[in-house]
Amino acid sequence: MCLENNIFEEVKDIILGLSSVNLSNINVTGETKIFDELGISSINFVVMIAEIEDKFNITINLEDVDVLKLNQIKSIVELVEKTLEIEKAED
Amino acid sequence: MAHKNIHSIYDLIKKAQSEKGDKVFILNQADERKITYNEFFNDVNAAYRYFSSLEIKSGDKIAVISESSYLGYVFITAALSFGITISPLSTSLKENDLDYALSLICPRVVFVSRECKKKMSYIDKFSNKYTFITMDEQCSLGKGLTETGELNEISADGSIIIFTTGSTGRSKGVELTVQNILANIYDVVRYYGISDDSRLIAYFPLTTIGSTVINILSTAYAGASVFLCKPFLEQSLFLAFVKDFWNIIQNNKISHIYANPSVLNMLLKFQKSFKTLTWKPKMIISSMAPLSKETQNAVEDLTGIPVLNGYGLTETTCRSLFGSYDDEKRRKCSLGKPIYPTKIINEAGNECKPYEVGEILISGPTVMKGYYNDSASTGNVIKDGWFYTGDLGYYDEEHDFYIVGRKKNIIIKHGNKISIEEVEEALLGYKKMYDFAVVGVPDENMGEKVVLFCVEYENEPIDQNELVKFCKDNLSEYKCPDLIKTVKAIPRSASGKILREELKKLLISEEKN
Repeated sequence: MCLENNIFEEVKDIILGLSSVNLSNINVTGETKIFDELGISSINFVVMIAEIEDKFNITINLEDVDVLKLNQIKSIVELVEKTLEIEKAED
Repeated sequence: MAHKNIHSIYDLIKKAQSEKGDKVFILNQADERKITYNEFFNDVNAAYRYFSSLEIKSGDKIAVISESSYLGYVFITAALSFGITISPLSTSLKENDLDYALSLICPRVVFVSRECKKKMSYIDKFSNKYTFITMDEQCSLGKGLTETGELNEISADGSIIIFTTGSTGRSKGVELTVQNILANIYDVVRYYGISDDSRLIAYFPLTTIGSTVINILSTAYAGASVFLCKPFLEQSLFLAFVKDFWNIIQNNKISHIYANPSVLNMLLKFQKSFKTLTWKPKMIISSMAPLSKETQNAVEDLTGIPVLNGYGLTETTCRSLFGSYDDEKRRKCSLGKPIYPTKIINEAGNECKPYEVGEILISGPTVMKGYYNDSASTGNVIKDGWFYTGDLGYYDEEHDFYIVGRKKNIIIKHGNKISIEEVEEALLGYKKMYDFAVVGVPDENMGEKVVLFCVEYENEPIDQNELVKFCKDNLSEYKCPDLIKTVKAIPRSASGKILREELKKLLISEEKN
């Protein structure tokens, strides 16, 4: 549970660092929409994934992922968790 | 004249078809089709028959609002081949920008892709003024393909109008003739060594002149082939493209990679996805925005592929300076030696000496016909046959050119030009700021980012979320500020001119701390 929270916080921090919006009035949760509510651009979305890969030392494989559904913080967190699990199993 | 046997786009595609016939011309990632030169030629003819059935004829104007697609390229090629003026419009235009573009061009028909029709719901508001037709490949080309045989009615050259940002105010429609395009194609093919065994990659929007001139028509001129990527209909799809980039290059044996600095920086973010390619592309050609030495060197060091720094503007068709091949100069981002008449002048209007920085001027066959229906603006930038680029540069003792910056008030973000004046004009509508200024600040990922500095009224803090919404409602997405900073005052000169450099320095020093 603690690890999951950490992942959420780490991912949230990366995303918020790339957001153009003043966040003081937004309650950022797993449901927050990264494009519509946080104003993440397509380029920053790429930067975000690159930063997440560096942070967690993982390589996100998009082959089995519907990238169109990667529009909320929680979907990104789930992707990170899934990738961590797969990479752990492979070790 | 580009080539003694080719006088028109129709000549070009006909020659390519007769010489290459069943050779694959376009690999269309969207539907995995391999389209031959014969099929493309027939589709272009079919598109013209389809236009004729809609009573669109030589001399008419049409507009296309579509993501990058095979049908979009067929329409553009057909228009240019048969004397029609065509304007591909950005798929991110807001209602007021679309209104402006359409009222300037007055197109006979506006073709809209299904996806854009869904996305741009306000299009319906214009349906009483203009004829909109949804693009559908089977319907458009199927109808035209039922009649076979070659068309003989090639009476005049078409032209293309691309909207771009000038130094002042709203976008301007750059009108390029077929002769502009043919001249540039010829030099692009020759300089970059594109031959019939080359394969290019196309992924930029239809509104980029490079997507028509370089990706499609120079491929046809050389008898080569091009891999046409799926469009990025959703923001997240760009990620899939970047992550899959090197696989596409390897699997499709791409020889010439066109990119801009933003894309190159994205690729550097995913260095892990670059595996040692068993296929080695001949070159990467960067353009659309200034390439930094750091990015150039990092990409070359990572990939071992030469990265050439190309330069050009929509007003000069596409490529004006092609990039140096010389190892040492290339790594300094030299633009190379000019192919077209090029000079650098100082403030006094005199030609600069080596290493003296001044404005770059270009002349020759690729300089646009003019800004569409705007002779005053055209006269401001074309004088005595020279196009004043607004870019600052210098040349060395061997006459290799380098770019150093811009004279005009323009921000280049992801290769898109943004007029500071236009953004500020839109922001005047937001009355809750006491004062404000827009500045372009260097950014590792975007090239430059749009930063809005605002001053609040006393005791009335600005609601930034409301301000962001206002920007989104009134400006195309790429023109919206990437960062909003509140300051106590906007620095101005004695004459009231905004001192943008001071704001830039303020932000850069804040970011360093």
